[in-house]
Amino acid sequence: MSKNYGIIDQRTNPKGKSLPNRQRFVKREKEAIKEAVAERIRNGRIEDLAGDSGQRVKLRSKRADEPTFHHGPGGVTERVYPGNKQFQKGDRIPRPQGGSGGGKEGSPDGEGEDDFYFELSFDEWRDALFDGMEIPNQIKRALTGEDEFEWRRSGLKSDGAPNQMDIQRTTQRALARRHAFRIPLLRRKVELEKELKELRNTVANAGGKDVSREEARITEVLDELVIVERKLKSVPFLDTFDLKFRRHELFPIPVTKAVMFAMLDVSGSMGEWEKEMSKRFFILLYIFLTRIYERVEIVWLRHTSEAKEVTQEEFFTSRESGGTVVSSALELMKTIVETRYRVEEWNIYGCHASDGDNFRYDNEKVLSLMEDFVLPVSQYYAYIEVRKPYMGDGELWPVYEQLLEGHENLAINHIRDKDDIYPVFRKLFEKKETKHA
Amino acid sequence: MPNTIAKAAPIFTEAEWTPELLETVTEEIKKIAEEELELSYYPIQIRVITSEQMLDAYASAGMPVGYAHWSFGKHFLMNERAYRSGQMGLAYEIVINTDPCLVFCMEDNTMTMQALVIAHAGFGHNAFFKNNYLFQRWTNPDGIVDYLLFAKDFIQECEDKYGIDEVSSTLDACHALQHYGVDRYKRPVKLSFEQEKARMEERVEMTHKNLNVIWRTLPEPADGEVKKEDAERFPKDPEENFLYFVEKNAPHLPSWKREIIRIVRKIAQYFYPQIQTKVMNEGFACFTHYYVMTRLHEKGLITEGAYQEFLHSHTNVVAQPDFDSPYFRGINPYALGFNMFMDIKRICEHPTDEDRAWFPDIAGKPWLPVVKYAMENFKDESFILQYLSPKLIRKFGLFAIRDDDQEEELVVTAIHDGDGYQRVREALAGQHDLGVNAPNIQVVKVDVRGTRECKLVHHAIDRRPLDEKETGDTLLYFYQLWEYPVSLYSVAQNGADIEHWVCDDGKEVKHHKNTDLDFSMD
Repeated sequence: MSKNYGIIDQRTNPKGKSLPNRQRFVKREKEAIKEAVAERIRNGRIEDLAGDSGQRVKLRSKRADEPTFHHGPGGVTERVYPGNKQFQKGDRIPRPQGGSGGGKEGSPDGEGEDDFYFELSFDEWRDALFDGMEIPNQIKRALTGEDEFEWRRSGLKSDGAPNQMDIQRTTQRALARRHAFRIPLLRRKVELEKELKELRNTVANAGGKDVSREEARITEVLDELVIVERKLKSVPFLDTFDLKFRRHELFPIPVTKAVMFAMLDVSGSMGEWEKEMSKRFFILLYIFLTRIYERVEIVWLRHTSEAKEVTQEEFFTSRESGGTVVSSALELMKTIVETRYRVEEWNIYGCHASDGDNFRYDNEKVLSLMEDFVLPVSQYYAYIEVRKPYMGDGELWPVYEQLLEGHENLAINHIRDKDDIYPVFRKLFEKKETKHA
Repeated sequence: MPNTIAKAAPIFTEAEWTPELLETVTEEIKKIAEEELELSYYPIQIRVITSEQMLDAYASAGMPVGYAHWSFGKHFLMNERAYRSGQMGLAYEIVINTDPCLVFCMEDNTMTMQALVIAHAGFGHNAFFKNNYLFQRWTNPDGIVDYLLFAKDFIQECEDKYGIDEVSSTLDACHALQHYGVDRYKRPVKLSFEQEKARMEERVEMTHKNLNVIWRTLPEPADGEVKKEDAERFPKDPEENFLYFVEKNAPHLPSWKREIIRIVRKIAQYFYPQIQTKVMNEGFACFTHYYVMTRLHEKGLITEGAYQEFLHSHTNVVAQPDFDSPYFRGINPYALGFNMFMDIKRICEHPTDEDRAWFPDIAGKPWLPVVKYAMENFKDESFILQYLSPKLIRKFGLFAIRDDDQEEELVVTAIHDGDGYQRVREALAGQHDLGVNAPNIQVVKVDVRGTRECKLVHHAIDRRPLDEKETGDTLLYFYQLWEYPVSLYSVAQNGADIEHWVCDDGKEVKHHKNTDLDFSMD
C-alpha cells in the first residue's frame, strides 16, 4: 500500500486572503455606507452613536445586489416535507401567513437578501462619518514651540557625561579600532620572526662561508622587531575617540487633550425638536474629536439669561423659561478655561447651538467676548442655528456673521431639518480648499 | 461467533491532535477505506487551517486560488458577521474536487473530529468526486488549480490594463448569468492552463471570423425568400448557455471581455455537478465516515469516549427536523443522503417483502457493489427516484403539499402510505431537479439584419413566474454584454405571453404584465 496522502500544517500561512476583496467591497459601497451612516445619525439612538464599539449599518444599495434569473412566488408548486403527524391525502390546509407557502422555498438560489446588514468596525464607522473632513487646526497647536517638551533619544554624540556613555557602541568601536591598528603590525611581526629564523639558520650552517651580510640583516631585523613590539603595546584598549554618548534632544509634546464646550440655549423658545437637533450635532462633534485626541472632555453649558455648568443628563432634559443672554455662556466659558483648561495644554473647541434669539442689548457684549477671548483661544468655534424652515435668520446670526471675516476658526450654519445635521456638520469641517470665503 | 482477535490499543486518548496522530489515524482509515470499502480515490492533501482561513475559504467556495472581485468580499463579510455573532458555525472541513484532493481541516477540531473529517472528506467526498459519472464527465480535477491560477492572473492583467472598475463590472454581468453559463448536455473540453494559453489567441481570431459571418452587412444573393428567412434564423437552435452565446456572438465585445466570460462559465461548469449531487455527495461521505468510525471503534483503535463524541456530532449532522420544528430548514441533504445509503445497505442485507417488491434487483445482493453502483451512476434527482424506499418515506414521515396560488388552501397530495410512496418519491426527486427548479429560459432569436435585438423566452411551467424584483436587473446585465436591445418573454404552456421585459438602452427595463390572461388551465 503506497502512501498517497500528505498532511500540511497551513495555519501559519498568511491569513486575510479575503481582505483585498473586503476592501473592494467597502470601497464599492462607499456611497451606500455614507448614506447608511447618515441614516444612523438621523434615526439612531444617541447613546449608541457615541459609544466606541463598531456600528451595525444597513446597506440599502443596489450596487450590492447580485441579481439572477430565478422563480418568484406564485404558480403551482408541489413540495415534500418531513414529519407528517396527522395529515391524510386530500387534506386542505389554510395557507400560512406570508403569502404562498412554498414560494419562498421554491427558489433555492433566489432568496435575495432584502437588506444587507454588516458591521463596520469603529474605525471604519468614524472614517465613513468624517471622510473628507479636515481636522481643524490640529497641527498648529501640536507643532508650535509654546508646547510642552520632553527629552527624547536622538542618536549618538562623541562627548558627554560618563553616565550617558553608550557602553556597547563604545566597546564595539574600540574593538574595531584595535583590530585595525594591530593586525598590520602583527603581520609584520610574524614576517620578521620568520626571516630572523631563516637568517640564523643560514649563519649557523655557514661552514666557512661569508655571512657578514646576513649578520648585518639580523641586527636590522631585531631593531625593527623592538619597534613593532613597542607599537603593538602602544595601541590603547580604549581611546577617546571610541567613546560614544547618547544624544538627547528636546521634542515638543503634541497636545493630545481637547475640551469641548457644548453650549446650548435652553430658553423657552427652544423646544424639544430644537434640543434634539442640537444634541445630535454635539454628539457628532464629540465623536469627531475623539478621533483626533486621546482625551476629550466635554463641558456642558446651559444658558438662558444666566449660564450654568451642568451634567450631560441635565443638559438635555430640563427646560427653563426666561430670556436669552448668550454672553453669559461665553463669560462662563471664559471663567472655566481660565481656571481649569490651560490654553497651552488643551485644545479648546466651542460649539453653540441656539434658535437664534438673543436679548438685543447683549449682542454687543457677545461680539467683544468672541473677538477678545473665545476666538483667540479656540481651535474651532461653531455656531449652529436650529430653526424651523419657515423662520428666517435669528438675531444672533448677523452677530456671528460679521465675525466670519478674519476668523478662519469660526463656522456658522443653519439646521432646519433632521436631514441637515450630517451635511451641515460635514460642511463645517470641510477641507479648506473647498471652503467658500 | 465470539470474536477472538485481541483489540488493538487506541491510537489516541486525548482530545488534542498532533501531526503524528493525524498520520497514524489516516493510515488506519485508509486501510478500512481500501480493504473493506474498496474505494478508489485521488491522492489526499490534508491541510490544517485556522478559523480565519476557513472564512477565507468560504468566501471563495473553497477554491484555493480565486480572482479578485468585490462580491467575494461581500460574502466574506456576511459569513464573518454570522460566525462572530454565533448564528453560524463553521464547517469542520471543506473539500473541493481537485486531483490531488485538498481537504481543509479546522485547527480547533478535536482529534476525534479530525478523524471524522478525514474519513468524510478525504475518503468519502474524494471517492465520490472520482467515481460519480457527472464529475467524470464534466470536470477535470487535475487541471482546475492551474486553470484558476490562469484565471486569476488573466483578470489581474486585465485590471492593470483596463482598470478595476471596468473588469469588475464585466464580472458582475457574468456572475448574474452564471447559472445560465453551463452546458447541460454537451461535454466540455478539458481545462488546463497550457491549452488555455495556447488556444487563447487562436480563439480571438476565430471569434472575429465567426462574428463576421453573423454580422456581415453585405446582403446575400437572394435565392428565394424561404431559404433566406431560414438562413437568417439565428441561433439555429435555442441556446440555454447565455454566457457561451454571448461570448461567441456579442457583436462588439473586446476579446479580453470574451475571455472573462469564458472564465466565469468554465468555473460555473466546474461547480455544476456539485449542485446536482448535494444529497448523494454528502450522503456518501456520511456513509463513509459512519462506516469507518464504527470500524475503528470495533477494532479498538478509538476509545469509547471518542466514539461517543463522534456519535454525538454525527447525529447532529444527519438530523432531520420536522416541518413544524423551529429548526426546520427544508430537507437536510446530509440526513436524506446518509439514510438513503444506509437504507440501500439494509435492503441488500436484510430485505423485507416490501423491499423485494420495490427493489427486486438489489434486495438480498451483496451491499458493497450495490452501494457503489448507486454512488457512481446517479444524480440527486434520479437517485431519489430510484432508491427512496417506502420504509424511509415512513421513517421521515414524508408528505407532499401542493400550493396553487389561485386556490385558497394548500392541498396534501400524498403521504407515507401505499398510495403515496410513488408520488412522494417523484415530488422529492423533482424538488432536486435543476431542470425544474431553475426557470427554463433560452435565447431564441437575434434580429440579425435589423436592431440586433436578442430575444429570450421563458417557458413558464405550472404558471411559475420569474422573480419580479431581480429579473429586470439581470436583463440589464445581459444588455451590458450584448450591447444591443434585449427582451425576455415569459410564455405560458399554451404559448400566451404572460409578461415581458424589454431593455432598449441599457439603462432601463420596461416590464409589461398581461393581467387579463385566462389561466383556467389546459
